Amino acid sequence: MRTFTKYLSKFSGILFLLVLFGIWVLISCGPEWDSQYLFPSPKAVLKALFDSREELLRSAGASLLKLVPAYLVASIVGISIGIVSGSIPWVSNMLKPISRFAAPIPPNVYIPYAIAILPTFYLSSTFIIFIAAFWPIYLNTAAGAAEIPEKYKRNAAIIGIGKFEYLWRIALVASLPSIFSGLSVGMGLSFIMLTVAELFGENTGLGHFVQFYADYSDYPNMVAGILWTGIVVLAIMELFELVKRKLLFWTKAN
Amino acid sequence: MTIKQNGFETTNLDFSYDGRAILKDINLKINQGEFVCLLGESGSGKTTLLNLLAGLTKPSEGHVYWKGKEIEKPSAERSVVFQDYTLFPWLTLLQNVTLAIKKTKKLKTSYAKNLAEEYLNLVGLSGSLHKYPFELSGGMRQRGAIARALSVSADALLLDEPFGALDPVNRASLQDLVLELCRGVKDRPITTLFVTHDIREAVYLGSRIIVLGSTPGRIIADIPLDFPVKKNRGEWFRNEKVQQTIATIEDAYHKDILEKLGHIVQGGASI
Repeated sequence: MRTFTKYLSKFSGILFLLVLFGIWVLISCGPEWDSQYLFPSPKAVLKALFDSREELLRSAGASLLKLVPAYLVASIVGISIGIVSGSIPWVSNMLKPISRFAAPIPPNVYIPYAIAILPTFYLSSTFIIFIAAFWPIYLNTAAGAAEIPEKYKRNAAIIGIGKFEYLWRIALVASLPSIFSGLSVGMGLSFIMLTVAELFGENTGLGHFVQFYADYSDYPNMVAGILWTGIVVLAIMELFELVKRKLLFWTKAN
Repeated sequence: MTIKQNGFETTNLDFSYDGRAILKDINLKINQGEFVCLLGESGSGKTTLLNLLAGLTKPSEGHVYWKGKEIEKPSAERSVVFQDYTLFPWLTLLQNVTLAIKKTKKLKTSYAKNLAEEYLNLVGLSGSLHKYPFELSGGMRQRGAIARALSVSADALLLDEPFGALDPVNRASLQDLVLELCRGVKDRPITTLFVTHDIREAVYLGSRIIVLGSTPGRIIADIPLDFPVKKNRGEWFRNEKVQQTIATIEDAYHKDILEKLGHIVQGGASI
Protein backbone atom coordinates (compact mmCIF):
# COMPACT_ATOMS: atom_id res chain seq x y z
CA MET A 1 0.00 0.00 0.00
CA ARG A 2 2.74 2.39 0.96
CA THR A 3 4.68 1.75 -2.19
CA PHE A 4 1.51 2.37 -4.16
CA THR A 5 0.97 5.84 -2.66
CA LYS A 6 4.66 6.55 -3.15
CA TYR A 7 4.39 5.81 -6.86
CA LEU A 8 1.13 7.73 -7.06
CA SER A 9 2.86 10.79 -5.64
CA LYS A 10 5.88 10.35 -7.90
CA PHE A 11 3.88 10.10 -11.11
CA SER A 12 1.01 12.36 -10.09
CA GLY A 13 2.09 14.97 -12.64
CA ILE A 14 1.85 12.56 -15.55
CA LEU A 15 -1.39 11.08 -14.20
CA PHE A 16 -2.98 14.51 -13.97
CA LEU A 17 -1.94 15.26 -17.55
CA LEU A 18 -3.63 12.00 -18.60
CA VAL A 19 -6.81 13.01 -16.75
CA LEU A 20 -6.86 16.37 -18.53
CA PHE A 21 -6.25 14.60 -21.82
CA GLY A 22 -9.20 12.30 -21.05
CA ILE A 23 -11.46 15.28 -20.43
CA TRP A 24 -10.33 16.76 -23.75
CA VAL A 25 -11.17 13.48 -25.52
CA LEU A 26 -14.57 13.30 -23.79
CA ILE A 27 -15.51 16.86 -24.77
CA SER A 28 -14.32 16.65 -28.37
CA CYS A 29 -15.14 13.04 -29.27
CA GLY A 30 -17.98 12.24 -26.89
CA PRO A 31 -21.70 12.74 -27.49
CA GLU A 32 -22.29 15.54 -29.95
CA TRP A 33 -23.23 19.00 -28.74
CA ASP A 34 -23.68 22.50 -30.19
CA SER A 35 -20.30 24.14 -29.91
CA GLN A 36 -18.25 21.01 -30.26
CA TYR A 37 -16.46 22.45 -33.31
CA LEU A 38 -14.71 24.85 -30.88
CA PHE A 39 -12.98 21.84 -29.33
CA PRO A 40 -11.14 19.94 -32.05
CA SER A 41 -10.24 16.35 -31.24
CA PRO A 42 -6.66 15.40 -30.36
CA LYS A 43 -6.45 13.62 -33.67
CA ALA A 44 -7.46 16.73 -35.62
CA VAL A 45 -4.97 18.84 -33.69
CA LEU A 46 -2.17 16.36 -34.27
CA LYS A 47 -2.99 16.35 -37.96
CA ALA A 48 -2.93 20.16 -37.98
CA LEU A 49 0.42 20.13 -36.17
CA PHE A 50 1.81 17.80 -38.78
CA ASP A 51 0.28 19.49 -41.83
CA SER A 52 1.30 22.97 -40.75
CA ARG A 53 4.75 21.93 -39.56
CA GLU A 54 6.59 24.14 -42.00
CA GLU A 55 4.48 27.16 -41.23
CA LEU A 56 4.81 26.51 -37.50
CA LEU A 57 8.58 26.31 -37.74
CA ARG A 58 8.67 29.48 -39.81
CA SER A 59 6.44 31.20 -37.26
CA ALA A 60 8.65 30.12 -34.40
CA GLY A 61 11.67 31.40 -36.34
CA ALA A 62 9.99 34.72 -37.02
CA SER A 63 9.05 35.08 -33.35
CA LEU A 64 12.56 34.26 -32.18
CA LEU A 65 13.95 36.76 -34.64
CA LYS A 66 12.04 39.44 -32.76
CA LEU A 67 12.50 38.03 -29.30
CA VAL A 68 16.20 37.17 -29.25
CA PRO A 69 17.70 40.51 -30.40
CA ALA A 70 15.32 42.54 -28.23
CA TYR A 71 15.94 40.35 -25.20
CA LEU A 72 19.72 40.34 -25.69
CA VAL A 73 19.90 44.11 -25.98
CA ALA A 74 17.64 44.46 -22.93
CA SER A 75 19.91 42.09 -20.99
CA ILE A 76 23.13 43.85 -21.92
CA VAL A 77 21.75 47.33 -21.28
CA GLY A 78 19.80 46.31 -18.17
CA ILE A 79 22.68 44.42 -16.54
CA SER A 80 25.26 47.11 -17.33
CA ILE A 81 23.18 49.98 -16.00
CA GLY A 82 21.99 47.84 -13.10
CA ILE A 83 25.52 46.96 -11.96
CA VAL A 84 26.65 50.58 -12.15
CA SER A 85 23.61 51.99 -10.40
CA GLY A 86 23.62 49.28 -7.74
CA SER A 87 27.28 49.96 -6.94
CA ILE A 88 27.46 53.75 -7.17
CA PRO A 89 24.99 55.62 -4.93
CA TRP A 90 24.72 58.81 -6.97
CA VAL A 91 23.85 56.90 -10.13
CA SER A 92 21.22 54.98 -8.21
CA ASN A 93 19.76 58.24 -6.82
CA MET A 94 19.73 59.71 -10.30
CA LEU A 95 17.84 56.77 -11.81
CA LYS A 96 15.47 56.06 -8.95
CA PRO A 97 12.70 58.59 -9.78
CA ILE A 98 12.49 57.63 -13.45
CA SER A 99 12.55 53.89 -12.77
CA ARG A 100 9.97 54.21 -10.00
CA PHE A 101 7.69 55.96 -12.47
CA ALA A 102 8.37 54.10 -15.71
CA ALA A 103 8.90 50.50 -14.57
CA PRO A 104 5.29 49.81 -13.51
CA ILE A 105 3.81 51.06 -16.83
CA PRO A 106 2.49 47.95 -18.61
CA PRO A 107 4.55 47.72 -21.82
CA ASN A 108 1.52 47.05 -24.02
CA VAL A 109 0.30 50.63 -23.60
CA TYR A 110 3.33 51.71 -25.65
CA ILE A 111 2.23 49.63 -28.64
CA PRO A 112 0.12 52.24 -30.48
CA TYR A 113 2.78 54.89 -30.00
CA ALA A 114 5.58 52.55 -30.99
CA ILE A 115 3.71 51.72 -34.21
CA ALA A 116 3.24 55.42 -34.85
CA ILE A 117 6.84 56.52 -34.36
CA LEU A 118 8.85 53.54 -35.56
CA PRO A 119 9.13 52.89 -39.30
CA THR A 120 8.33 49.13 -39.29
CA PHE A 121 6.17 46.70 -37.37
CA TYR A 122 9.30 44.66 -36.71
CA LEU A 123 10.99 47.57 -34.94
CA SER A 124 7.91 48.39 -32.88
CA SER A 125 7.47 44.84 -31.65
CA THR A 126 11.16 44.49 -30.78
CA PHE A 127 10.96 47.82 -29.00
CA ILE A 128 8.00 46.64 -26.91
CA ILE A 129 9.77 43.38 -26.07
CA PHE A 130 12.86 45.37 -25.11
CA ILE A 131 10.85 47.54 -22.72
CA ALA A 132 9.15 44.48 -21.20
CA ALA A 133 12.44 42.69 -20.56
CA PHE A 134 14.51 45.73 -19.60
CA TRP A 135 12.81 46.83 -16.38
CA PRO A 136 12.84 43.56 -14.44
CA ILE A 137 16.42 42.87 -15.57
CA TYR A 138 17.61 46.33 -14.62
CA LEU A 139 15.76 46.48 -11.29
CA ASN A 140 16.87 43.03 -10.15
CA THR A 141 20.48 43.60 -11.16
CA ALA A 142 20.59 46.93 -9.36
CA ALA A 143 19.05 45.41 -6.23
CA GLY A 144 21.54 42.54 -6.34
CA ALA A 145 24.55 44.81 -6.79
CA ALA A 146 23.37 47.05 -3.98
CA GLU A 147 23.08 44.10 -1.61
CA ILE A 148 26.50 42.57 -2.18
CA PRO A 149 27.81 41.51 1.23
CA GLU A 150 30.22 44.00 2.76
CA LYS A 151 32.77 41.19 3.10
CA TYR A 152 33.27 40.90 -0.67
CA LYS A 153 33.76 44.63 -0.99
CA ARG A 154 36.30 44.68 1.83
CA ASN A 155 38.16 41.78 0.39
CA ALA A 156 38.28 43.40 -2.99
CA ALA A 157 39.59 46.60 -1.43
CA ILE A 158 42.29 44.76 0.50
CA ILE A 159 43.68 42.87 -2.47
CA GLY A 160 43.72 46.07 -4.46
CA ILE A 161 40.82 45.67 -6.86
CA GLY A 162 40.05 49.15 -8.18
CA LYS A 163 36.64 50.78 -8.53
CA PHE A 164 36.17 49.96 -12.20
CA GLU A 165 37.48 46.43 -11.94
CA TYR A 166 35.21 45.86 -8.95
CA LEU A 167 32.17 46.43 -11.15
CA TRP A 168 32.80 43.55 -13.50
CA ARG A 169 35.01 41.25 -11.46
CA ILE A 170 33.06 41.30 -8.18
CA ALA A 171 29.74 43.11 -8.52
CA LEU A 172 28.73 41.40 -11.74
CA VAL A 173 29.52 37.90 -10.49
CA ALA A 174 28.22 38.38 -6.97
CA SER A 175 24.91 39.75 -8.32
CA LEU A 176 24.39 36.81 -10.68
CA PRO A 177 21.67 35.21 -8.53
CA SER A 178 19.47 38.31 -8.68
CA ILE A 179 20.46 38.99 -12.29
CA PHE A 180 19.07 35.57 -13.14
CA SER A 181 15.80 36.16 -11.36
CA GLY A 182 15.49 39.40 -13.34
CA LEU A 183 16.36 37.60 -16.57
CA SER A 184 13.72 34.98 -15.93
CA VAL A 185 10.96 37.50 -15.12
CA GLY A 186 12.05 39.52 -18.14
CA MET A 187 11.92 36.43 -20.33
CA GLY A 188 8.36 35.64 -19.27
CA LEU A 189 7.22 39.21 -19.84
CA SER A 190 8.90 39.45 -23.21
CA PHE A 191 7.13 36.29 -24.36
CA ILE A 192 3.83 37.82 -23.38
CA MET A 193 4.61 41.08 -25.14
CA LEU A 194 5.90 39.25 -28.19
CA THR A 195 2.66 37.38 -28.71
CA VAL A 196 0.56 40.44 -27.86
CA ALA A 197 2.46 42.49 -30.43
CA GLU A 198 1.99 39.73 -33.00
CA LEU A 199 -1.75 39.49 -32.32
CA PHE A 200 -1.99 43.23 -32.94
CA GLY A 201 -0.28 44.08 -36.11
CA GLU A 202 2.40 41.63 -37.17
CA ASN A 203 1.94 39.29 -40.07
CA THR A 204 4.49 36.74 -38.94
CA GLY A 205 5.21 34.79 -35.76
CA LEU A 206 3.44 32.47 -33.35
CA GLY A 207 0.92 35.05 -32.16
CA HIS A 208 0.00 35.82 -35.73
CA PHE A 209 -0.38 32.13 -36.55
CA VAL A 210 -2.92 31.66 -33.76
CA GLN A 211 -4.80 34.86 -34.60
CA PHE A 212 -4.87 34.04 -38.33
CA TYR A 213 -6.50 30.61 -37.90
CA ALA A 214 -8.87 31.93 -35.24
CA ASP A 215 -10.07 34.50 -37.77
CA TYR A 216 -10.88 31.66 -40.18
CA SER A 217 -12.43 29.52 -37.42
CA ASP A 218 -9.83 26.82 -38.17
CA TYR A 219 -9.73 25.61 -34.59
CA PRO A 220 -7.53 22.52 -35.07
CA ASN A 221 -4.77 24.78 -36.44
CA MET A 222 -5.36 27.39 -33.77
CA VAL A 223 -5.05 24.85 -30.94
CA ALA A 224 -1.99 23.41 -32.68
CA GLY A 225 -0.49 26.93 -32.68
CA ILE A 226 -1.14 27.30 -28.95
CA LEU A 227 0.41 23.90 -28.18
CA TRP A 228 3.40 24.66 -30.39
CA THR A 229 3.92 28.02 -28.64
CA GLY A 230 3.92 26.15 -25.33
CA ILE A 231 6.55 23.74 -26.61
CA VAL A 232 8.79 26.54 -27.90
CA VAL A 233 8.55 28.51 -24.66
CA LEU A 234 9.21 25.39 -22.59
CA ALA A 235 12.31 24.57 -24.64
CA ILE A 236 13.71 28.08 -24.24
CA MET A 237 13.00 28.11 -20.51
CA GLU A 238 14.74 24.75 -20.07
CA LEU A 239 17.77 26.05 -21.92
CA PHE A 240 17.71 29.10 -19.70
CA GLU A 241 17.62 26.93 -16.56
CA LEU A 242 20.56 24.93 -17.85
CA VAL A 243 22.70 28.04 -18.30
CA LYS A 244 21.58 29.32 -14.91
CA ARG A 245 22.56 26.11 -13.12
CA LYS A 246 25.96 26.17 -14.83
CA LEU A 247 26.70 29.75 -13.84
CA LEU A 248 25.27 29.65 -10.33
CA PHE A 249 26.92 26.43 -9.15
CA TRP A 250 28.63 28.31 -6.34
CA THR A 251 25.41 29.37 -4.61
CA LYS A 252 24.69 25.80 -3.49
CA ALA A 253 25.77 26.15 0.10
CA ASN A 254 25.37 29.88 0.60
CA MET B 1 68.51 42.18 20.50
CA THR B 2 67.09 43.87 17.45
CA ILE B 3 65.86 47.43 17.53
CA LYS B 4 62.09 47.56 17.83
CA GLN B 5 60.52 49.23 14.86
CA ASN B 6 57.21 50.97 14.92
CA GLY B 7 54.37 49.08 13.34
CA PHE B 8 50.99 50.48 14.20
CA GLU B 9 50.47 53.65 16.12
CA THR B 10 47.29 55.45 17.03
CA THR B 11 47.12 58.84 18.67
CA ASN B 12 44.03 60.16 20.49
CA LEU B 13 41.89 57.95 18.33
CA ASP B 14 38.14 58.49 18.59
CA PHE B 15 35.46 56.81 16.58
CA SER B 16 31.76 57.45 16.78
CA TYR B 17 28.90 56.23 14.69
CA ASP B 18 25.48 57.87 14.54
CA GLY B 19 26.53 60.14 17.40
CA ARG B 20 27.43 57.19 19.60
CA ALA B 21 31.01 56.91 20.81
CA ILE B 22 32.38 53.49 19.88
CA LEU B 23 36.07 54.06 20.64
CA LYS B 24 37.45 56.76 22.87
CA ASP B 25 40.96 58.05 23.26
CA ILE B 26 42.89 55.06 22.02
CA ASN B 27 46.64 55.57 22.20
CA LEU B 28 48.36 52.45 21.06
CA LYS B 29 51.77 51.44 19.82
CA ILE B 30 52.45 48.06 18.29
CA ASN B 31 55.98 47.18 17.28
CA GLN B 32 56.74 45.28 14.12
CA GLY B 33 56.75 41.55 14.68
CA GLU B 34 54.57 41.72 17.78
CA PHE B 35 51.64 39.35 18.20
CA VAL B 36 48.95 41.37 19.93
CA CYS B 37 45.68 39.89 21.05
CA LEU B 38 42.84 42.34 21.38
CA LEU B 39 40.33 41.17 23.95
CA GLY B 40 36.95 42.62 24.70
CA GLU B 41 33.29 41.85 25.05
CA SER B 42 31.01 42.18 22.07
CA GLY B 43 30.27 45.84 21.55
CA SER B 44 33.62 46.99 22.89
CA GLY B 45 34.72 48.19 19.48
CA LYS B 46 37.37 45.52 18.81
CA THR B 47 36.28 45.05 15.23
CA THR B 48 36.08 48.79 14.70
CA LEU B 49 39.65 49.19 15.91
CA LEU B 50 40.76 46.42 13.55
CA ASN B 51 38.95 48.07 10.64
CA LEU B 52 40.65 51.37 11.46
CA LEU B 53 44.07 49.71 11.43
CA ALA B 54 43.21 47.99 8.15
CA GLY B 55 42.15 51.31 6.63
CA LEU B 56 38.62 50.06 5.97
CA THR B 57 37.19 52.75 8.26
CA LYS B 58 38.33 56.31 8.89
CA PRO B 59 38.69 57.69 12.43
CA SER B 60 36.38 60.45 13.64
CA GLU B 61 39.23 62.08 15.56
CA GLY B 62 42.92 61.36 15.94
CA HIS B 63 45.34 59.51 13.70
CA VAL B 64 46.30 55.98 12.74
CA TYR B 65 49.79 55.25 11.44
CA TRP B 66 51.47 52.24 9.90
CA LYS B 67 55.27 52.34 9.86
CA GLY B 68 55.11 56.05 10.60
CA LYS B 69 52.76 56.87 7.73
CA GLU B 70 49.13 57.82 8.15
CA ILE B 71 46.77 55.05 7.02
CA GLU B 72 44.48 56.29 4.28
CA LYS B 73 43.09 53.25 2.56
CA PRO B 74 43.17 49.46 2.73
CA SER B 75 46.34 47.85 1.47
CA ALA B 76 47.67 44.38 0.91
CA GLU B 77 50.46 45.26 3.31
CA ARG B 78 47.91 44.87 6.07
CA SER B 79 45.90 41.78 5.27
CA VAL B 80 42.66 40.93 7.02
CA VAL B 81 41.02 37.62 7.89
CA PHE B 82 37.40 38.00 8.94
CA GLN B 83 35.26 35.64 10.97
CA ASP B 84 32.85 34.93 8.17
CA TYR B 85 34.68 33.20 5.42
CA THR B 86 35.65 35.74 2.87
CA LEU B 87 36.95 33.73 -0.03
CA PHE B 88 35.02 34.53 -3.19
CA PRO B 89 32.56 31.63 -3.48
CA TRP B 90 32.68 31.51 -7.28
CA LEU B 91 36.43 30.87 -7.37
CA THR B 92 38.36 27.77 -6.30
CA LEU B 93 40.88 28.02 -3.48
CA LEU B 94 43.72 28.26 -5.96
CA GLN B 95 41.91 30.88 -8.04
CA ASN B 96 41.14 32.91 -4.93
CA VAL B 97 44.75 33.04 -3.80
CA THR B 98 46.07 33.48 -7.34
CA LEU B 99 43.79 36.47 -7.90
CA ALA B 100 45.01 38.12 -4.71
CA ILE B 101 48.65 37.59 -5.67
CA LYS B 102 48.09 38.76 -9.23
CA LYS B 103 46.37 41.93 -8.12
CA THR B 104 48.87 42.89 -5.44
CA LYS B 105 52.13 41.84 -7.00
CA LYS B 106 51.35 42.39 -10.66
CA LEU B 107 52.70 38.96 -11.52
CA LYS B 108 51.96 36.82 -14.54
CA THR B 109 49.24 34.24 -13.93
CA SER B 110 51.60 31.26 -14.08
CA TYR B 111 53.97 32.73 -11.47
CA ALA B 112 51.09 33.81 -9.30
CA LYS B 113 49.63 30.32 -9.52
CA ASN B 114 52.85 28.67 -8.41
CA LEU B 115 53.16 31.04 -5.50
CA ALA B 116 49.54 30.47 -4.56
CA GLU B 117 50.13 26.72 -4.50
CA GLU B 118 53.09 27.24 -2.20
CA TYR B 119 51.03 29.20 0.29
CA LEU B 120 48.17 26.73 0.17
CA ASN B 121 50.66 23.94 0.87
CA LEU B 122 51.90 25.95 3.82
CA VAL B 123 48.46 25.90 5.46
CA GLY B 124 47.94 22.22 4.64
CA LEU B 125 45.52 22.56 1.76
CA SER B 126 47.60 21.05 -1.01
CA GLY B 127 44.92 18.40 -1.59
CA SER B 128 42.08 20.87 -2.09
CA LEU B 129 43.51 23.39 -4.54
CA HIS B 130 40.69 23.05 -7.03
CA LYS B 131 37.83 22.90 -4.57
CA TYR B 132 35.27 25.66 -4.23
CA PRO B 133 34.60 27.22 -0.81
CA PHE B 134 31.19 25.52 -0.58
CA GLU B 135 32.91 22.16 -0.86
CA LEU B 136 35.16 22.87 2.14
CA SER B 137 34.64 22.77 5.89
CA GLY B 138 34.72 25.97 7.93
CA GLY B 139 38.23 25.21 9.15
CA MET B 140 39.54 24.61 5.65
CA ARG B 141 37.98 27.82 4.37
CA GLN B 142 39.65 29.72 7.16
CA ARG B 143 42.97 28.09 6.30
CA GLY B 144 42.41 29.31 2.75
CA ALA B 145 41.66 32.81 3.97
CA ILE B 146 44.89 32.79 6.00
CA ALA B 147 46.86 31.55 2.99
CA ARG B 148 45.42 34.34 0.90
CA ALA B 149 46.13 36.95 3.56
CA LEU B 150 49.77 35.85 3.80
CA SER B 151 50.28 35.34 0.08
CA VAL B 152 50.06 39.03 -0.71
CA SER B 153 53.30 39.59 1.24
CA ALA B 154 51.49 41.21 4.09
CA ASP B 155 53.68 42.70 6.82
CA ALA B 156 50.70 42.85 9.10
CA LEU B 157 47.95 40.36 9.62
CA LEU B 158 44.69 41.53 11.15
CA LEU B 159 42.47 38.68 12.26
CA ASP B 160 38.92 39.40 13.39
CA GLU B 161 37.72 36.46 15.52
CA PRO B 162 38.89 34.16 12.75
CA PHE B 163 38.13 30.95 14.61
CA GLY B 164 34.91 32.04 16.28
CA ALA B 165 32.78 29.65 14.26
CA LEU B 166 35.03 26.60 14.49
CA ASP B 167 34.85 23.48 16.65
CA PRO B 168 37.48 23.11 19.41
CA VAL B 169 39.70 20.65 17.55
CA ASN B 170 39.90 22.72 14.39
CA ARG B 171 40.31 25.79 16.48
CA ALA B 172 43.32 24.44 18.33
CA SER B 173 45.08 23.29 15.19
CA LEU B 174 44.46 26.62 13.46
CA GLN B 175 45.75 28.50 16.48
CA ASP B 176 48.99 26.57 16.25
CA LEU B 177 49.15 27.22 12.53
CA VAL B 178 48.74 30.97 13.00
CA LEU B 179 51.37 30.98 15.73
CA GLU B 180 53.82 29.20 13.48
CA LEU B 181 53.11 31.33 10.42
CA CYS B 182 53.22 34.66 12.19
CA ARG B 183 56.58 33.88 13.68
CA GLY B 184 57.71 34.62 10.17
CA VAL B 185 57.03 33.32 6.73
CA LYS B 186 60.27 33.18 4.79
CA ASP B 187 62.10 35.12 7.51
CA ARG B 188 59.64 37.96 7.36
CA PRO B 189 58.38 38.90 10.83
CA ILE B 190 54.68 39.60 10.76
CA THR B 191 52.89 42.07 12.95
CA THR B 192 49.72 40.43 14.09
CA LEU B 193 46.56 41.78 15.67
CA PHE B 194 44.27 38.99 16.73
CA VAL B 195 40.79 40.00 17.85
CA THR B 196 38.97 37.55 20.09
CA HIS B 197 36.71 37.44 23.11
CA ASP B 198 38.21 34.19 24.35
CA ILE B 199 40.70 34.91 27.14
CA ARG B 200 42.41 31.51 26.89
CA GLU B 201 42.87 31.90 23.16
CA ALA B 202 44.36 35.36 23.65
CA VAL B 203 46.77 34.20 26.33
CA TYR B 204 47.84 31.19 24.29
CA LEU B 205 48.57 33.16 21.14
CA GLY B 206 49.69 36.62 22.14
CA SER B 207 53.00 38.15 23.03
CA ARG B 208 50.96 40.99 24.40
CA ILE B 209 47.32 41.40 25.35
CA ILE B 210 45.25 44.53 25.13
CA VAL B 211 41.89 44.52 26.86
CA LEU B 212 39.16 46.88 25.72
CA GLY B 213 36.45 47.98 28.11
CA SER B 214 33.09 48.68 26.58
CA THR B 215 30.80 51.63 25.87
CA PRO B 216 32.79 53.43 24.74
CA GLY B 217 35.70 51.15 23.89
CA ARG B 218 38.90 52.16 25.63
CA ILE B 219 42.04 50.36 26.69
CA ILE B 220 41.63 49.05 30.24
CA ALA B 221 44.65 46.76 30.36
CA ASP B 222 47.83 46.29 28.37
CA ILE B 223 49.71 43.19 29.42
CA PRO B 224 53.00 41.99 27.93
CA LEU B 225 53.35 38.21 28.07
CA ASP B 226 56.48 36.16 28.39
CA PHE B 227 55.60 32.53 28.66
CA PRO B 228 57.42 29.22 28.31
CA VAL B 229 57.52 27.63 24.88
CA LYS B 230 54.21 26.06 23.91
CA LYS B 231 54.83 22.38 23.53
CA ASN B 232 51.92 20.67 25.14
CA ARG B 233 48.70 22.62 25.20
CA GLY B 234 47.22 21.00 28.32
CA GLU B 235 50.41 21.26 30.34
CA TRP B 236 50.98 24.80 29.19
CA PHE B 237 47.57 25.93 30.39
CA ARG B 238 48.24 24.36 33.83
CA ASN B 239 51.36 26.55 34.20
CA GLU B 240 50.94 28.83 37.20
CA LYS B 241 52.11 31.96 35.43
CA VAL B 242 49.61 31.37 32.66
CA GLN B 243 46.78 30.84 35.10
CA GLN B 244 47.70 33.98 36.96
CA THR B 245 47.58 36.01 33.77
CA ILE B 246 44.18 34.62 32.90
CA ALA B 247 42.98 35.60 36.36
CA THR B 248 44.38 39.12 35.99
CA ILE B 249 42.55 39.63 32.73
CA GLU B 250 39.34 38.25 34.16
CA ASP B 251 39.65 40.70 37.02
CA ALA B 252 40.09 43.61 34.65
CA TYR B 253 37.00 42.49 32.77
CA HIS B 254 34.89 42.10 35.88
CA LYS B 255 35.97 45.42 37.27
CA ASP B 256 34.90 47.11 34.05
CA ILE B 257 31.54 45.38 34.07
CA LEU B 258 30.95 46.09 37.76
CA GLU B 259 31.82 49.74 37.28
CA LYS B 260 29.33 49.99 34.48
CA LEU B 261 26.67 48.24 36.55
CA GLY B 262 27.45 50.76 39.30
CA HIS B 263 26.76 53.58 36.84
CA ILE B 264 23.46 52.07 35.92
CA VAL B 265 22.42 51.55 39.51
CA GLN B 266 23.42 55.08 40.41
CA GLY B 267 21.59 56.44 37.39
CA GLY B 268 18.51 54.48 38.34
CA ALA B 269 18.65 55.65 41.93
CA SER B 270 18.76 59.30 40.96
CA ILE B 271 15.39 59.14 39.20
